[in-house]
Amino acid sequence: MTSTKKDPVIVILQLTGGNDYYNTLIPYTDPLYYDNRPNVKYEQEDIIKINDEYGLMPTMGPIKEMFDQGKVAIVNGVGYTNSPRSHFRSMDIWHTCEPDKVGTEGWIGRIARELDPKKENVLTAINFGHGLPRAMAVPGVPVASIADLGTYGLLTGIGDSGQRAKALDLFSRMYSPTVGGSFVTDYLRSTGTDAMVGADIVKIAPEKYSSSVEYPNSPIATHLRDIAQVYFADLGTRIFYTAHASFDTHAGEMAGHPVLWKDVSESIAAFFEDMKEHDAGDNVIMYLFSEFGRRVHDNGSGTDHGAAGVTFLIGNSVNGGLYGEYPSAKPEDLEQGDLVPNWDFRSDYSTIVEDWLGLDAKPIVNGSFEKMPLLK
Amino acid sequence: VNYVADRVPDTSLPGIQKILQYIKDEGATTPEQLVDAAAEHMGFVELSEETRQQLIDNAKTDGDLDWSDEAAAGQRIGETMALIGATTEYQFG
Repeated sequence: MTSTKKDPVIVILQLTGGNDYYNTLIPYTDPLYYDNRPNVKYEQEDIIKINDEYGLMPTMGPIKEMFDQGKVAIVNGVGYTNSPRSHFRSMDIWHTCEPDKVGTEGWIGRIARELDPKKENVLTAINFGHGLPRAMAVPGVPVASIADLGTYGLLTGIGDSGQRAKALDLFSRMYSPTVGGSFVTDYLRSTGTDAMVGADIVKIAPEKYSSSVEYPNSPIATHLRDIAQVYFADLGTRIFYTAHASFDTHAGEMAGHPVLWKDVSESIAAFFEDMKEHDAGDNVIMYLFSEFGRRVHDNGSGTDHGAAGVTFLIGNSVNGGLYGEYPSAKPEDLEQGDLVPNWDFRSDYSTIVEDWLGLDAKPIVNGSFEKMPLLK
Repeated sequence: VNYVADRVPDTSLPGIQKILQYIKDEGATTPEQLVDAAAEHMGFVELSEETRQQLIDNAKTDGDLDWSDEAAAGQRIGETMALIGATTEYQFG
């Protein structure tokens, strides 16, 4: 008997720059919060309380609504030991699951390889944004990177349609495998043909899309809407990746951070509303992370790089609630003035890989890590 | 591929206009001259003979460059440079 159950899909939303954990999930009853944050803090009356101890920052209203519906799991104290507090190195670590050496394979790329070992679908994993995150980079694994779904395609700078058709034909011939070609040349050519095949397939997504949901006017909303369009087009994509920036709030945090979370929260709400409208919410979950949190004490205008952070898992299939332990902000419990991670990020990944995608996590995240029951 | 292809056919860019002027001054008219000049101004791209011939065959479909219509000639050169930017030699060389 065939199954009508759809394959589980994961959307990864990277909050680039180091999101301020201490000002996102706020220990509003802890006097240390107000002592440590003379300038970069929220007043109790503005914090969106989720229980008697913790609340969300003021512009996360839509996330709170979903939390109240049991659809948001918030994981405390996420990170890894000996954080270098460097954007580049820390993001590399999150992307490759290699805290102790420079990794060369991204965990998402490894998932794509497991899901589609024969590379039958070049759109198994798609990044929405510019460039390609290292998380998705694995030699030989085709992934697509789409900056703008509406104009996605090869050689779109050639305006005349007749000339473009000729150009694409030439491109196809230039990148076709040749008899007697070396492994290297065949590998290079396959990247071109994969790009061309992917572009041809994905361009139908906007044409097939219709929705009454109005997404906000922000880059992250555009990316999430593009993700929804591709997902609804049923092209077999299992992993979507995107990012929003910049959470690197060294200065002016009280002006910038609320805007960032407003954009993220409203866009996520619109995305899941779109899923609901299309009766498609049960097999999509979204994971939010940032490469580190920020320092406990503010610098007068913002906050500098820290260590422990907070992650979110959102969706109908999520066991909503607060997970883990909020790291202590007592001076004697800090490391280099920062909240100390007490939950390895690879544990989050393991939950996603095993409990959601049904794969063995160990070869993907480079080890075995304890999991929490974040999913139904 | 698209990063290059979005820019080099844009004849409003001052740098592209300079390249077009250089190519015109060099007297390039035939498809072979067009491809070789475009490859030179894309950074002395060393094309394999196979790729070069593919580009020349493509250029031959539109005949020689007609400098009496500078806009059209400029567009052809820009598109040729975009195609060179799409080659494996440019992307991975």
